[in-house]
Amino acid sequence: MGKLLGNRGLQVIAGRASNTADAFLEIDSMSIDDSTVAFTATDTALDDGGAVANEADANFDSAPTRSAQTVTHVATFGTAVFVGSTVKRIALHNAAAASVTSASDTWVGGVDGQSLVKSADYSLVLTLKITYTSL
Amino acid sequence: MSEQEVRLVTKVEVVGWATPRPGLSLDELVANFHRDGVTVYEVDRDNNRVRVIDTEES
Repeated sequence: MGKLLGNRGLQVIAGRASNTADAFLEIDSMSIDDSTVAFTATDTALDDGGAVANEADANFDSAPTRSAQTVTHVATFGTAVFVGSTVKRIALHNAAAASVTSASDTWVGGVDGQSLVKSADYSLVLTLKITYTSL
Repeated sequence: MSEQEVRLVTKVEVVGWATPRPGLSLDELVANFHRDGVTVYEVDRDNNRVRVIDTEES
């Protein structure tokens, strides 16, 4: 299972932190998809490692929060979302959900290697935390 | 001039909670997960939800 921020994601974070002229959009949404391809540091879109069959995205339930060096992002995927597909990867994007697709260059980071069949029997609330540590 | 390298390490973790749809009990949802071979990490009856994704425990 991979859990990482990509190079582009690190650029987004660095640029936003120092307000560089790159004008990156903030991290605004989360996606789930059923690709078995592991994320890599050079990814910029969900389908960089291969076509994604099924994908769903959602804006955060509320503004992300920070405690010390950990930032928490929460998004809900409702009962009617992603039904019959298997959640294999979870990702963050620096764009609103309406602008996120499997091909959009919005991927910041995420985790892969999951296997949860999404049904209409439940809604799924995902909490993704990023912790920054300086060594 | 000496140089000092500072490393920024990032850790990404995900937790997923499933809440049953109206008309389905928490026990029925848990039974469904067990039937489907889904790992149930925690049953939270106070909040009517089941923890089914946890990258720190998996």
